Amino acid sequence: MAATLKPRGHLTDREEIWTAIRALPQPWTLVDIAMCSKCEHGKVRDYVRSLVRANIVAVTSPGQPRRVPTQYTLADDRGVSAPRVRKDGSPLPPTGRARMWKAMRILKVFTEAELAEHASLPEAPVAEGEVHTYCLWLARGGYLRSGGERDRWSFIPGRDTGAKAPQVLRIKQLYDPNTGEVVYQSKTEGGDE
Amino acid sequence: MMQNDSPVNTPLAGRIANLSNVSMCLGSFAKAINRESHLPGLLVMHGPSGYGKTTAATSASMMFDAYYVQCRSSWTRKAFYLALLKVMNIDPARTIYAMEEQIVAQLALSRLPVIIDEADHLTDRGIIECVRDIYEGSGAAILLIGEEKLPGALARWERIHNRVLEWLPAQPATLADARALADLYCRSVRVADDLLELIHTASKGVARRICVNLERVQETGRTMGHPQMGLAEWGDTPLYTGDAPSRRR
Repeated sequence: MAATLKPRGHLTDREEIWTAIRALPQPWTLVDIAMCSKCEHGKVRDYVRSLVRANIVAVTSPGQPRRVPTQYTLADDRGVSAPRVRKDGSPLPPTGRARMWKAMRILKVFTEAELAEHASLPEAPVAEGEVHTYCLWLARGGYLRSGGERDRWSFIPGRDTGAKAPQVLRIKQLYDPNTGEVVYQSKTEGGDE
Repeated sequence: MMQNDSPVNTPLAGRIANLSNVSMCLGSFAKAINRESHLPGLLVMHGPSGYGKTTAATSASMMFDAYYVQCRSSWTRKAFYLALLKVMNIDPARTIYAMEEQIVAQLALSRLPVIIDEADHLTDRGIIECVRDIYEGSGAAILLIGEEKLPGALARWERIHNRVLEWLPAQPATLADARALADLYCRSVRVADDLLELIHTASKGVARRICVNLERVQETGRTMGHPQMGLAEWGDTPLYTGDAPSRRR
């Protein structure tokens, strides 16, 4: 394809790996991808393995342990978004929060029950409690406004920042009450992967 | 209060899909996505506002993982392409031509369909041809949604008109649809059949008005403490009909 498709926004490890797979000259090895995407080798290996099982990546020449690295090619380019696949290669639907984010930007005004219904897929339902939690967080972030009635929300149009759903992250801090300082902060957890 | 909060607690999944406009839209979209290569791939869903077109679009975009954009009256060709690239999560190229290439490439590679809501704005501004450009380049199934005059407006662009696989006029809500909406919106008060029929008639089949009326009925039931609202409980309180208020005498 002539057009260059560069993803926008911050990329997760899998997205970095996928972008590297599409960008590098074919065929490539796991080491090439790890260098290009700056991801851990283990993560690269796991994701590429699932992509092979999903028939998205093909093995062009099998390597020999400790001598020749296996070479891979991209067999089925799915475009800019990193394919969501399980370890066995079966396709994975978008996360519940991604579906909620998408549905609320279309509906604009909605009740929690309505959003749960819209964001649910037959194989992956979204619970109303989960809708409630996510809406509360988005309201804190200024994406949603409470719509008067008890579980009605409206999406603030100017806050449609893009296709990816805002993530609620966990972070742990070590706080010393003697000095009133946060002396250590853990890495964030709970983002999309 | 809490324990009898949801006397109509049937499982949620699939209730929206049972609405007649939604199931029609899902069925036709599935056909367009899986069509044989010689068949055209544009769908046009049209109908008056409040008939539930956007509800259908939401379901379709979820079910088929479609890209969804809602057009605005101020949009130029560039604005349209930028909006599409935003939902595709692609860093836009500099020129309009390059943006179009990006969109076409992404659609062709991902094989995902597109939903363009409020497409009337594209015909009004004469930029509907860019939908054809995208369609021709990628072969993606595209669902255009607009008001009643959209088919007429599209007739002016024969090259688009020829590529429509199916025209989907949104239908007024049936009584069964009204029941499905009542089950979805009235969680704490059950709406009896006689009152539901009255609501259906007064709302003239417009889904949005049915929802407004159901909401009022539920609110009244809640304040008066009725777990079920029928004609007897509702009395002769006027329903929302969408008509402008008549002169007071």
